[in-house]
Amino acid sequence: MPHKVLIVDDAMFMRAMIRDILVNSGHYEVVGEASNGEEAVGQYQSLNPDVVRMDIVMPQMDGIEACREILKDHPKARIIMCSALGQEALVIESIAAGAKDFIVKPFSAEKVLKVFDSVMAE
Amino acid sequence: MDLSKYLDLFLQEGQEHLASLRDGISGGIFDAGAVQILFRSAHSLKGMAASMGFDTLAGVAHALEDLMNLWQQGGAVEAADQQAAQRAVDLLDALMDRVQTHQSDKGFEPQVAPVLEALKTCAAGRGAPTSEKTPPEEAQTPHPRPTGGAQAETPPGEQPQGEEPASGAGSPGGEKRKPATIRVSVDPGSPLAAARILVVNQRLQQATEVLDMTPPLKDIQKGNVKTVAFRVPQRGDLKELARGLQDLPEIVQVELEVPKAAPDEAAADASLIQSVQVRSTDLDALLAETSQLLYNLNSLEADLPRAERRKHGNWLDSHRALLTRLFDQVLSIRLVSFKRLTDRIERTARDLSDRLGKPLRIEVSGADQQADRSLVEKLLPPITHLIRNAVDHGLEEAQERQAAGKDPVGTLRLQISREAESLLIEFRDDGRGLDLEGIRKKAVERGILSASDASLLDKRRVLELISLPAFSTRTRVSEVSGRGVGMDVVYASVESLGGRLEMDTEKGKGTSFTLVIPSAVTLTQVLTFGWSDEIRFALPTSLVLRLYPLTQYPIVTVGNRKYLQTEEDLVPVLSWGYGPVGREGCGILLAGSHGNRALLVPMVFQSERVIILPLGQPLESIQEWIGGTHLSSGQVAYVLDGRALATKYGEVPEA
Repeated sequence: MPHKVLIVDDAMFMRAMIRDILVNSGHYEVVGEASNGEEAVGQYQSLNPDVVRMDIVMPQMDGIEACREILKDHPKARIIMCSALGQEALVIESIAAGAKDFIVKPFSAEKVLKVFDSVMAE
Repeated sequence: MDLSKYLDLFLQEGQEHLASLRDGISGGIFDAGAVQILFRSAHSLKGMAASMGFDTLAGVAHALEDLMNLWQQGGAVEAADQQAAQRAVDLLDALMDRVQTHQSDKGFEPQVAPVLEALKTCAAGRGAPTSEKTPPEEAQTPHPRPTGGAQAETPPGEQPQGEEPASGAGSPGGEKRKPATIRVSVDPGSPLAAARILVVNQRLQQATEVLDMTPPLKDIQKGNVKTVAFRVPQRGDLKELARGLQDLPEIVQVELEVPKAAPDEAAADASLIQSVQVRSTDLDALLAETSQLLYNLNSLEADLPRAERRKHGNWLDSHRALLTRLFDQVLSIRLVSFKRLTDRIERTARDLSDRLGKPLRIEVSGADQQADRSLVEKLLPPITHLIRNAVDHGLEEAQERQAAGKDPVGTLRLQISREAESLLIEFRDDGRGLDLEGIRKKAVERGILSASDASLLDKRRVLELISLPAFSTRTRVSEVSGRGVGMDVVYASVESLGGRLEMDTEKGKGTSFTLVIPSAVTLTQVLTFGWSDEIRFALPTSLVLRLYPLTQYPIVTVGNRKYLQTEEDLVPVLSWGYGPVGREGCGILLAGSHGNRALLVPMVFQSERVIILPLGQPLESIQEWIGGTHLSSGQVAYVLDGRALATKYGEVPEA
């Protein structure tokens, strides 16, 4: 059974890239996409995915905030943060807020899947 | 990763961000909202460029982003800043064009350095360093957040340190056990090591309690710390916990240190930090020398007159026991688990699945079985071949499977187990099964059998036909599994290991292959026989099916072939031997590729446990000789590969 993923990123290009990596592995299915934190929270409520891939820097509600909001109602949510280099403090903050793991751009399919598989295995 | 298909998307979105930057900077309005937008555009552009591998572009965008980050923190935006930013945007423009025409951002190197210099100077002028390594203090101030919202929380690294080890009183048995230390090393290539360590910390917190972390998170953020020590209470399965951590992404090494509280607490967990690397040639030498010791002892005992033997009986026995234990231990050092093989097999299966577009899952069990390292290595080529065959020819395309009511995702199952002195490696697929009719037809076409004979063959014999060289029912040569000549190679590999291959298939349901490999991990039980005291041979008893004394079971001749007449069957006699065999001899029943065969020998001595040693060249090339051994009597005997013998010398010529 492929795991259901919600992809959150304000860049359509990034969403496409992640979607391809996940779907090609055969183990994941993208059930929804959101382009900002607010949409992400809404989508999580309606879709109840197995795991969320959340960009940190976004308009209208950033990833960390969205992470907190989602965890409020769904404390067991699996959220994987995505950041660019030089954002260690933000990543640390999101892990402290309850995100399970993170990936860093630029990423390879292998690294992404390793993190996803590791989070799903828990 | 093939990134070319994202190029259009990248260019489209990238140009949008670039436009927003251009307008924003030349517009000259730098209030909080405007700067926020600029910052986000630079940030997005950086991320996208990095993902596409355009490092130069990403680098310039990063420097620009850093500057804008500082703009966000307040203060006027000077003309110098604006200018530096403008130049950066111009360069980004040129780079983007380059990407559009040449799919690369190279060729602008001379212009890049001054732009970066200018940006850095402006950033420095504002009194804060660039965001390469975020100083720990920044973790507490709002690192630019687009919402300008809530303050950052206290760095989480502080929390574990504040906790009291409450475990002391509460641990089972009420003893005060010293905490264990788990040392975790992060991949030196990891870009955000501190965050990675934090993930490990969170995982540990879920499984047990983290008493403290050395060095603390703040120091890790400062940079260049790649190994962290976590102290956890000595509770639960720490080895399992450490193993779990090793599987996490970007973690390269996990060491577990359990302090000894009492002398009776075994340092069993030392296995994770105390491993040495040994050359396999050294191990081979060790094995040879140890077996020589055993042989010397046996020789000595054989040479002693009976009275002496009795007198020193105890010493001889205890010595033999010690040496046997030593030998067993040396053998066990050569033991490795099958995991190295199954890991590769799994990778190969996934690779093939991708390449051929056939979704599949591979289930492995028994990977923790152990066997001599050379055996495990020798099994890799045949098993790999079976996998290739299964994915290439066995598994149907997803659509075909679905139409047949099967799960569109194929299943491959690899199971490794032990039965008495043999290793059983079972590999099965749930594909279309082997085409028995096709095999029959091909055999007739190739002139191996006549049509009427072919129709008489039962399933088992049809399957055995596949082992013949150059036998293939596939007309198209597939680049993945070759011409189908592989099956005879698989058979040969298995036989050279003294094993046999069993197959079964069912149309539409799948095929299974079972490799049965004799693999004693200690001494091998053999049956010795020969033509005289000097000419002795041995056969692993696991290959001997039965013994037939020739006084009770006659040899009959049918046509020009000799057969041993047993209760059920006429067993063809092997044309192998060192001389005539009279009526006091014995028929040894062996299983060959094409059926059972009888080996006639004049004298059967006994069954004993021996060490089989490799013969070395040139004798090693004799297929039917597994090795040599020193018998307990002191003589050398050649150990035969019963199956190879039965196959090679068991040809039944056509009637």
